Amino acid sequence: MSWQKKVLRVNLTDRTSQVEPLNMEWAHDYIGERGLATKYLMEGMDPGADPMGPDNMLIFATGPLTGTMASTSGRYAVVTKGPLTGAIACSNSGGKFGAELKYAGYDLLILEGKADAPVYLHIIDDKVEILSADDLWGTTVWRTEEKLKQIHNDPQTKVASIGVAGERGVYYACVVNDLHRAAGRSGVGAVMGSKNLKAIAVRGTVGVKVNDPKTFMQVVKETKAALWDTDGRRELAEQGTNAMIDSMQEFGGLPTNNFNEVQFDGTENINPAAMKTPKANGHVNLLTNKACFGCTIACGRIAHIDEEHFSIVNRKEYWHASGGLEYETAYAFGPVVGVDDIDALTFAGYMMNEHGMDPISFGVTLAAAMELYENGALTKEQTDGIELKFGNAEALTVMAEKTGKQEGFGVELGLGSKRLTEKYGHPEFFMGVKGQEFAGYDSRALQGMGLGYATSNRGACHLKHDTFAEDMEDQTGQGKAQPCKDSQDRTSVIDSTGLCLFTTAAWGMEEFRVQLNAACDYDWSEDEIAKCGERIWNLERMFNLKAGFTKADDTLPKRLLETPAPSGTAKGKVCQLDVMLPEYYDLRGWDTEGVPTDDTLGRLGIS
Amino acid sequence: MIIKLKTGGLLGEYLPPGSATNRGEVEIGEGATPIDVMQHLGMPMDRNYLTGVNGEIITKDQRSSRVLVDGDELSLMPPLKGG
Repeated sequence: MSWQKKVLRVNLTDRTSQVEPLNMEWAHDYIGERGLATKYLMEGMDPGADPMGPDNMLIFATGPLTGTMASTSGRYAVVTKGPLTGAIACSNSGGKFGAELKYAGYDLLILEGKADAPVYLHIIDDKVEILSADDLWGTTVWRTEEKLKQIHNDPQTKVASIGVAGERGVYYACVVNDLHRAAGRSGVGAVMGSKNLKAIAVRGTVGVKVNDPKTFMQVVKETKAALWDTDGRRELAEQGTNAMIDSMQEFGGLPTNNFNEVQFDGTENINPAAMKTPKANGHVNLLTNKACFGCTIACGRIAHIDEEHFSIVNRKEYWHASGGLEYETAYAFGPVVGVDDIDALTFAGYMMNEHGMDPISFGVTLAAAMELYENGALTKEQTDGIELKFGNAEALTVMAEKTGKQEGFGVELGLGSKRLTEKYGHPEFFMGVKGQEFAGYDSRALQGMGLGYATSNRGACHLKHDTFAEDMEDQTGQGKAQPCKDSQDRTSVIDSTGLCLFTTAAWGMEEFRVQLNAACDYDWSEDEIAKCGERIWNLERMFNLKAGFTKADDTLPKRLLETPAPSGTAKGKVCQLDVMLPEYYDLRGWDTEGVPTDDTLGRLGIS
Repeated sequence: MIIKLKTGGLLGEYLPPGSATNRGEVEIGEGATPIDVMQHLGMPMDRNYLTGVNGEIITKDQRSSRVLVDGDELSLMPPLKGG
């Protein structure tokens, strides 16, 4: 406890499944979710395997605190080798699916092989069926979820599925659960599609048991109270993560027009205040906020599009509420493509959820295509007659839908920006690391973010480290390596518990540790839990090294390293990765080529 | 002297009554520093803020030493993470 101590392993080639005991030695060393799935992945497959081939493993992983009464306990992770990057992929999602998988009795669901025809997985506790998905293939995420609940006559069934984007191998296709929560990054949905697996429908009645209920209830009560009392929690609930857009605009760290600018004139049309302000016709974008399973923050946004807006006029199927703008979607459909039409941004978000795509990668890929277009490398004939210029809201909405349906130029956009810019002769327009596109922070203004991007094991990512406080105090490369390394290790632990990163608005590592120790029949010391984080990070690094990555991949585009920021507080500055990276390697116990030394691996128990 | 104020997110709640959303101004004595203004507005001092004066970053150390002058624009933003 509070692990279920069971792994469900499904072989899609043979259409067989078996339950096996969880390796508890690994559970103690890697906790659960991200960490434990990484260990199973490393032990179970060749890191050099084709990510879209049958030898890739796809793991849905819960944490020991998933499904418990701890705040934000709805998290699960999808771990695999990512097709967008060729690196390890670890995409984390909320909603209710993760808790339901845990309630069905499993810590991990491991999918191997490839079905010879479309299938979906139906799980009710220990009843596991691999069923035909012929009638679902080619349909949207939203339709799939609706239909599966009808087929199994159970509205409480929780569904994680892919859309056409995942079926057809869009490199940044995601897995969507509960209609608008997603394991979003690195193309985990394309891996699911490559296995001919349309969906996982799960219903669980087993529940979870904690080791020391009295202590657990007490520590949960205390940690929830601490979280409730923070301004950061209230900010997330009332403003949503999009509150960040005003900060980044003021700071000059808001990537605009494919990182050619760092500030955007239109933020006041798409920020949290704009989401709440009535238009001339009275329409208000934001309806309410929403929480995932067990969450006491509720940062999610529920919005609707103005029925008179060009994107949905005469399209009643979109006259309903759905997931609204969060910071990364606001950035990826807004500044980075130069668009400030809030309804167009919201529609693009609908397309991501309905068809199953990562908004960050889609938006930055569209931005790269716009730069190609504006530089003459793409013509209007190639872009289906659409003027692919920065600021064109119609280009955003049309291309979001075309990419989701894999029609016309949308097929090209499905390549992701690295492959797209290489194909059309301008690889310098790719804004990302290891093939994955940047989130909404420019690392000329946020130097520690640059180091985090360059060293993130899943390619460019803002969620695997936390140097925001340091970056807002100083805009040099000095003093960033240590907080970057330390926060990467902390994040590795948090991502392995089953809880949400946003609880760090109030909690430090001790709050996670006391909840884990009360819930599990194992006690981690402070040193042990810290070592777990470092161990997880290094194991991910070893996966990537075995997959062929080298020090040369720990870098940033020249635009960030050589072209000074044109405005804002970092005007004239470039990202000082050359200052930060050697110090980072040294702190990690890696050699000058970025390879963990034998001493480091030995200290962490990695063979 | 008059200091212009620019805030983000819920920090707008600390602006003087009658201010626009996240925009306002405050009258304060000559020689005031950013810390003086933040205390005058009643902002909690135990949080991290992204602080700027006229578009330049002001570090924590500078918040009590940088002397503001009439017409300066003080920016106070919350350092949230975006998911």
